[in-house]
Amino acid sequence: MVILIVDDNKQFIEAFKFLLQENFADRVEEIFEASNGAECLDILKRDAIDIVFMDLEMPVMNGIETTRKIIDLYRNIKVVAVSFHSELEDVKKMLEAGARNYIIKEELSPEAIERSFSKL
Amino acid sequence: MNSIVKLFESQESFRLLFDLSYDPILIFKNFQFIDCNPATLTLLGYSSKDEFQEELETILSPEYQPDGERSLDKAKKMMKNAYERGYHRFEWMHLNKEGESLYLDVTLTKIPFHNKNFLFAIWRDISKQKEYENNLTKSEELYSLLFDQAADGILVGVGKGEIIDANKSICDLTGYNKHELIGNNINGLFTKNELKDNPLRYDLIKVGNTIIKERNIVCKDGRLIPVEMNTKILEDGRMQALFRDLSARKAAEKALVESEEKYRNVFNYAPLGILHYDQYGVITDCNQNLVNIIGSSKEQLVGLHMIEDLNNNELIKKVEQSLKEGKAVFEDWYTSVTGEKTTFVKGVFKCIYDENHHFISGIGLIEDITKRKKAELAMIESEQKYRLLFENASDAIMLMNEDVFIDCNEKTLELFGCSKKEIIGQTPYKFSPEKQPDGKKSKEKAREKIKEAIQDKPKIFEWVHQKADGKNFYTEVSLNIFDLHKKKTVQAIVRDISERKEFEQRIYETIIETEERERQRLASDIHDEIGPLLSSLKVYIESLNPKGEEAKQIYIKTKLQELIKETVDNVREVSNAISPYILNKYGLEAAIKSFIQKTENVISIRFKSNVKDKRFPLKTEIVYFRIIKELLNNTLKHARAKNIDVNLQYSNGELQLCYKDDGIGLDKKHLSSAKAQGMGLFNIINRVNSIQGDYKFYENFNGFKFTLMAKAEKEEDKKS
Repeated sequence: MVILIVDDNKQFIEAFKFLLQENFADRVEEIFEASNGAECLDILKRDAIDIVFMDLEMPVMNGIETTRKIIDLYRNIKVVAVSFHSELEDVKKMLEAGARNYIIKEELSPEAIERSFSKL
Repeated sequence: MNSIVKLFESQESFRLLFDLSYDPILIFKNFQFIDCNPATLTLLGYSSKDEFQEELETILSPEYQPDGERSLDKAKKMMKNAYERGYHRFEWMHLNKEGESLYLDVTLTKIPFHNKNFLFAIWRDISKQKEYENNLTKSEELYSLLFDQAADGILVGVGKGEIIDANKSICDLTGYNKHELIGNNINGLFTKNELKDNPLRYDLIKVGNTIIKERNIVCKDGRLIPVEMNTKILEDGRMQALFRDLSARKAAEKALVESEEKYRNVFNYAPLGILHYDQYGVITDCNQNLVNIIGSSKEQLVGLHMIEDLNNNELIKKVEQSLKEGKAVFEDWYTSVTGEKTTFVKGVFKCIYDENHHFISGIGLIEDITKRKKAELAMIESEQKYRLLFENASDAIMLMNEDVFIDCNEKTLELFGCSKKEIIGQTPYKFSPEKQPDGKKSKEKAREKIKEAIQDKPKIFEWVHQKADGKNFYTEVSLNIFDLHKKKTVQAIVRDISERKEFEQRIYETIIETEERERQRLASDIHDEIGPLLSSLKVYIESLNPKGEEAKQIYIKTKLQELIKETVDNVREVSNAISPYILNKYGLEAAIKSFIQKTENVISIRFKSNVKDKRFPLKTEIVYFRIIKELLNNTLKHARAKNIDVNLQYSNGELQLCYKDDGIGLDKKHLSSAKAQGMGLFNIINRVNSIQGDYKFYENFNGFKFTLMAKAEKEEDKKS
């Protein structure tokens, strides 16, 4: 699987990458990263991505708008919303926009990732 | 023969005696008339004895004598008396031929002759004596009447002033009765001092002098009464003293003196100029005040012929009118002929006449009313000025009696959009919505405010009014009370504060929005910055495994340390954003320097300050810091500037900030535009207002310029 993590917090992306590499090295071929929706769309144009872990609140283009565009452009790419618990209302909007699953940032763990993979 | 001759001679002698006697002689025998002599007939008016005898029986005497006794009875009684006693003398009234009364002194003498008793009656006419006696009696009665009825008090005395008679008036005057006065000495009516100073001059009186002197007599009750005493000696040697009561005259004299004194005082000291003039209009006298008013001298004024010498035709006319009709009034500017002084005078010219309407004097009362006139003119001018102010005031001004409009100015009509007719007679709540913003009924609240203003002091309050078209608008009303024509009048100054209210409302909304935005920003900072860091920390911590690969564990630890540091930094930043740490600890200058340092690589900032480490009230420091930060942000975001000047100066308890940049600047319309709101200018204004500071955004400045000045008492000064 080729994964793209979209988040405006570099530290969080690194932690996320560390977790994937540590626990899902067998299934993850490559991990890309983007700090906002626009960068995300640029990468999608260039590379074949299977799963996008999408943050909600970002500068330039937020998660909801980016997800809507991804679903429009790339029907096969799966989007997983990554959010804080306080943003659950927005997660609904993400799901409406086309996200397949969601992960609560506070609960980020191999199990949470596994659960999201399994629903794809 | 001899005896016969002697008898004859004797008879002849008797006859002669009888016939020639001047007194009437009558002879009676046994009460019967025998004979009478010619003197009898002459007295009674008869021509002959026969004529007399015919009448004798009937008319010789009146029926009654003056004592009331019947003549016949009395005559018999008188004759009988004479027969018995031989002689009787009495008075008798007879009647003469004409029936006129005759008073007679009758002497009856009994004469025995030839054994018969004859009565020999000799009459003496005493009519004249009787008449004199009657007259004397009448005269005495008249004298007595005059004596008693005299208006003057009269005392009659003898010797050294011994009183022998006193009339009613002297009794009334002195309070003594007649018996108390008679027998006493006249000295008792005077005080010792009076007698000592003005002794009674009997010596002069007794030689025929009449002495008239004013004295005081002592009444029975001790009062002293002023009298004029007129003393003289009477023909019979008695002295008569007349006393005329002078009390009334003295009182009148005193009153006259007082009246004259009063008039003299009025004349001399009255605030009026007073002049007297004769029937030709020539001034005969004047007081000092007239001299002052006219600005001339008394010498020049007295003798001035007003009709010929004055040059003011109107005044001449008035003087002439007063001489003709008795009174005239002049009121106008007057320039004195003699003094060349111009004054506004009111003159009343009046003529005084005696009871026969003969001219006595003309009196002119001249009042200098220049000041009053000037005050009147000033008042008129002031009224005109007030009217001008009233009509041209930029605020609506309305006058009320209680809660009814009696007048209003032009601005009122403009503000309420109606005519004067629609306002006068109406009440303020007719031009208000039913209720005010606090929910109270406009009618009740308006009456309450007016009542408070009447009782207390001027009131200023906000009020929602309603225009004629029904549109509500905010006003500030100032109520003042003053007396107009002795009535309490309410003056309401109504200022349209819609714009101010709108501005305030926008500031209020901005405050809420700003606070909300700030909260959101802080929440977002915590959420976006610290949240992911903590989530990442969690990921690494969960990945820690003491049994795991060492290099990985070291990597995880390094990551954990990095994350913790970044989290701490983030917390500090957020905390600083909430309450700047440096500002709190080191003060305004340090905080600004610290903030500027972070932006120095972006733009050139020159910061000047004399504040150093001086501290100000926390609120003032925060306001200045936030405003500078806001202005810096604005310059960075919008101004396209290259240089910024920040100057912070403290002097005389005031903190002055001058902020300038050389960017694109700001025009006035930005202040109220949405852009300004976005730029945080409302925020700045609101912060300035919170410390009652003065601020200015400079227009037409080459770039942007803002100044702020506020009282900023230093903390240490406050303590000291």
